[in-house]
Amino acid sequence: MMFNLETAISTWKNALKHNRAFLPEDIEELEGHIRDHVHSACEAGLSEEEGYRRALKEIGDLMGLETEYKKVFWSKVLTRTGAVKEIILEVKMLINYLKIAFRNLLRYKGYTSINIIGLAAGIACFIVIGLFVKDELSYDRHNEHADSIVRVLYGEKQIYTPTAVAPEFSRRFPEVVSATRIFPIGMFNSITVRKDEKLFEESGFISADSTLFDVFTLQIVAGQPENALNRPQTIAISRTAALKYFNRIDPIGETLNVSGSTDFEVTAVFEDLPSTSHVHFSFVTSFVSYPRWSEREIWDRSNFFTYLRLQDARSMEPLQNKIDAMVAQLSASDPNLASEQFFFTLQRLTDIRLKFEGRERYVFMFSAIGLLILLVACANYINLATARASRRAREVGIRKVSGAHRGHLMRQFFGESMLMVLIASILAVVLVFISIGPLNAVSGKEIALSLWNLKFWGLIVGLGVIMAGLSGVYPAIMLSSYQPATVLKSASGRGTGSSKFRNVLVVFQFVVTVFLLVGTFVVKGQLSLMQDRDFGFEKDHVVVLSMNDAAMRSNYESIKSVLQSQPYVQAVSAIQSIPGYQFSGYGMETEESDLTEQVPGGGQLVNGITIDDDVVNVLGLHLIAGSNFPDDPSYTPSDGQYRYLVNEQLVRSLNWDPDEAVGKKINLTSGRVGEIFGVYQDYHYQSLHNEINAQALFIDPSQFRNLMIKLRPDQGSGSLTASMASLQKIWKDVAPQKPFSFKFLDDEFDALYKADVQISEVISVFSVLAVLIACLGLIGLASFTAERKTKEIGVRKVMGATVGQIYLLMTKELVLLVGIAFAIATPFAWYFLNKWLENFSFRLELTVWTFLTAGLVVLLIAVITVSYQALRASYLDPVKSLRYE
Amino acid sequence: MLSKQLVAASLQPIVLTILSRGEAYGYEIMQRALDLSNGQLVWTAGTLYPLMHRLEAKGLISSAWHPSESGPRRKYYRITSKGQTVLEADKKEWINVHAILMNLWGPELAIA
Repeated sequence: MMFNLETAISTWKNALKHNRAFLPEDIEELEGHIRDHVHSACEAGLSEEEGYRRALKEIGDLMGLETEYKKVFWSKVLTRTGAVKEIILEVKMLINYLKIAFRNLLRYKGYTSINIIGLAAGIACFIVIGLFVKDELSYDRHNEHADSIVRVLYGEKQIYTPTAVAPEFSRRFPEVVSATRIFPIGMFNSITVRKDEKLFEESGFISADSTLFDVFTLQIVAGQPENALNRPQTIAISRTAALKYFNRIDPIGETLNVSGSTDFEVTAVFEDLPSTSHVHFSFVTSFVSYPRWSEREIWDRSNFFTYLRLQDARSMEPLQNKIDAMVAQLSASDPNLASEQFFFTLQRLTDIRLKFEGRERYVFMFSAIGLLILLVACANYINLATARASRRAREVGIRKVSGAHRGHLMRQFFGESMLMVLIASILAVVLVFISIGPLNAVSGKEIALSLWNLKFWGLIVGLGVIMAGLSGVYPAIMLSSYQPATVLKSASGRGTGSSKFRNVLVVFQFVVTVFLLVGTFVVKGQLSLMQDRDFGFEKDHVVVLSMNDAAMRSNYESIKSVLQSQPYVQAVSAIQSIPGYQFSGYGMETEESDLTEQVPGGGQLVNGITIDDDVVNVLGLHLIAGSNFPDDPSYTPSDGQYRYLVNEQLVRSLNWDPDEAVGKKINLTSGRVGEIFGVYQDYHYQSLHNEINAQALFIDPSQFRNLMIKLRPDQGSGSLTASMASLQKIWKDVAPQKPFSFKFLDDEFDALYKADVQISEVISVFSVLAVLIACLGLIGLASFTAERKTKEIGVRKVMGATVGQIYLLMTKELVLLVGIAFAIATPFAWYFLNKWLENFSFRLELTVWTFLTAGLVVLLIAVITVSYQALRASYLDPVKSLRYE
Repeated sequence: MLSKQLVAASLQPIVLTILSRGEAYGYEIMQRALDLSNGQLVWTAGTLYPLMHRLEAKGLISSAWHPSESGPRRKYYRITSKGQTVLEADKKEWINVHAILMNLWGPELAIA
């Protein structure tokens, strides 16, 4: 056939026409170029055909040309008017990819639903955990100056500080912008508040310096914060409290009666503190209402929290140095103060929840679990997508032969992951909104979710992109890499080579599962260890009523005798604060040091609680030496005449024998010299997180705040209600000024572990979810394995293999994988759990059995999960499975 | 033949210089460069045209379609005043580099 230049050029143009890298005028320009080339070749004596061949050679291959033109494509389009058109085209392509992806999802419904459920559960868990972590991290952040607020600790741990700290520090150190003292009047013993006929026991009751509003950020609803607390007998209350007592939010100038004795004038109303405040209060009386504390600045009694607002966050270290210098000076000038324990430590407000209250390790734990769950969900997706690759290998081959570039295929497969993640994200958001209520209930948090929170949606989108990236990239690369010649040649079109990688991912999932299960077992075990422990006292059947009231204290003996005469009452006693909440600290002198010492700095710090002579009976304390106090209602304490019961730890710390201690004299600062009557076995007077230190119990009716009534346990059913009704009647007679709001000692003590219980619940929930997500993936994977091995199984059965042998064939690999995972997970779990357990003073011993149990559970779950597929495959009739050849 | 990097680096100043002497179309520019360099500067259409488009997008040159005496219309390129400024700057740079190399190698090599 003769060469025709026009035909050749139009063929060449046709090849470029649909390539979007070239604009029509680019093609025209190139055409001119070719023509010029041919023209000059002809002038040089060559044929048209030869000229055309040379021109094409000079232009280079189409792919290279396309690449070069693509580089300038957008700048060209932008300088002309085609930009919008181009963008529309791109969007159309995207829609097309989505459409194809959507069809693919619909075609394999089982695969799609397993994937979407797994991804959605993973994303939902991650979001919820993210919300929890954010909640923890936002503690006290509502304060405008959160970064520059510090709390002063006495020594290294003691949160109670002397009255002198705040005024002295703010006078002496320019770094301190403002300082406030908080006296937690009603944080451990409730306070009776009354407005006309409205009578309640309130626990969020504090007293604070007028600078409270300056240090902390409290939103004012009514009143003037600057001078709200600078007069005696004034009180600031929360919005809720204002509504509760006055039915309005601005009861400025109204009065509230406190403890049945004093009227306080409401001078300010503030918004309720957010749940993310480490300290909670609804009532703040002015510190100057109590001249006993406010007028004396002393260093030797510690009952007050001290908070400082510094110039900026960086002032803390220099200030700490100055404080150390000041303390050294003070100790040198006043030998009574000098002691190893007399120093102060500054602590950042934002560290209180995370570091001091130890929530940091839970934040870490939760974050790790969230991340692991997310990775397990991604691993599921990758496994299923690559396992399914065999089905799509031929599709890839055909597409490539039809001219698709690898980039196009990657975009297509990535688009499918994106779509999957998108659907899963929407489902996850729905799940989060549904589950946040119940989860708040379990965790005791107040996490609010709003549909209009942009940050939330930002998080979801970001997460979706990361998830799509994590789970979509590998399958996209793998699937698009198939060579058409290879995948189209083999009739079955099986992808190979990726099963190793799948096994790695499955092992990873099992590692996570084993790890989380062991973690759950240990956390639960530690908790039940704590809860089932012998606390050293009997907490059951004890009713606690507030007697924080002058009138009740003076009538105590008669009230006690009325109560004791009831048939259902076993014993009655009064105590300053109930077990679990005993925080009062004193310095102690002994005969060996100097009993007459009036200032306690040099002595030992002991926990001191006032009781009456029946506490031993009510709490069932075990006396190991000496005896209980003599029954002596007329006794009132005076210096030299104090009566003490002390715990074993106190005796031990002084290197005494319990028997030797009885009869010795001690002095709890200051001016409480008295004799030890008995030594009791240590009991947990604070939470089990704290160690048992030296404690002394002594009689001082002026400090009784709680009435404890031990009911007879051997009463019939329904008797509790009757007893409580009877108690209420008596209460109305003996204490008409106090509401009958009772608590049970065991509930109060258990409340100390609420946070631990909640955390263990949350951890269990998420661990179970992680296991379920991993199982979902396993089901999918097993079905693909079974499908791939259909022919092999058929042949084996024809050759005489039994069902049992086939079953074994299908599951033995899985057992091996679980074994490997177990070997990897165990050391990690051992290490991390030991670290966690170090935080408890009474801890669970890790045993091999804990790990073996978890391993066996995982193995069992895995085997059960694949058994259905394995059994189905082994029962398959070879005639059917081999027929399709 | 010059090395690939040097060809790429010198493309812009050479194209701008050719255009500063009068407007021209793609094939013409390529031929001139080939003549000027005694056949050493071998460009391909795949390098030249995208470069022309890029220079145009940057505003260093402008283009217009003119009918040709033979056959279809041609796209002519023309240097802009911005292109002139850039060319001056390019020139200075190349002369500087040239001067440095000359100083290093001495006059005898430069002549050879």
